[in-house]
Amino acid sequence: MKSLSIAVLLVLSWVGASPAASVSSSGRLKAEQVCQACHGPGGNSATDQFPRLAGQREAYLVSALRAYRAGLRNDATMRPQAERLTDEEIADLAAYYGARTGLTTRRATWCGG
Amino acid sequence: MKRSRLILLFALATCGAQSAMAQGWQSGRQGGAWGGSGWNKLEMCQGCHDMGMRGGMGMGMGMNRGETAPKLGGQHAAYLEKVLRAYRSGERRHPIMNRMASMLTDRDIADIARFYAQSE
Repeated sequence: MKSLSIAVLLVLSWVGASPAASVSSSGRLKAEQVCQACHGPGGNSATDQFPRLAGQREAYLVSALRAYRAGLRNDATMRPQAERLTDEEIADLAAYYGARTGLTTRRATWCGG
Repeated sequence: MKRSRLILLFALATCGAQSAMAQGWQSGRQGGAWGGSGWNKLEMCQGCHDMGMRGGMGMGMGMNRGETAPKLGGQHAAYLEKVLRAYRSGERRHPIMNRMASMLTDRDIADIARFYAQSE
């Protein structure tokens, strides 16, 4: 019993220390607390007023959030949200939404489509 | 700069894009499964938005290093229309997208938005 609980503790501390786990969970937490209200669960927004984020290219999400934060993109809703984010939080959110399933690319029409 | 131009040329050359683009531009392709007026103009979109090139295509046309074009497939049509109009009016600024959107009519914008919003 004792060795079992030690093993459990070891596993938990390893999971807690793993950078990958902490990055994705902080991105998920913020997404669920803040972004989800408009962009929908997992970034699949239900209404067409707000863009889908699920599966979007991570690098694009990073540059979009930075542009909102810097005021290069002007949006009354997104700017105040983005102003609260650090570089690290932006990276976490982009990684979270980039890993969801949703948006796709289309086969180029000039390639026989 | 020179290198990114080469990448652009290479991308255009793949799939025989040059002839297909020239053809599509002049004639359009009516009567197909997708016959809207924005049809041939879709080809302007796809090089950046659909070609799955890793890290995106800087193309030496004013995009920052590492910047990449967003995926559009499955996006809401109304949102795509709103953004294209904002690029066309200059309300939203981007060195490439302002130029692209300036070539689009209202009808083109509606057709392009419809194409990308459709589920495959």
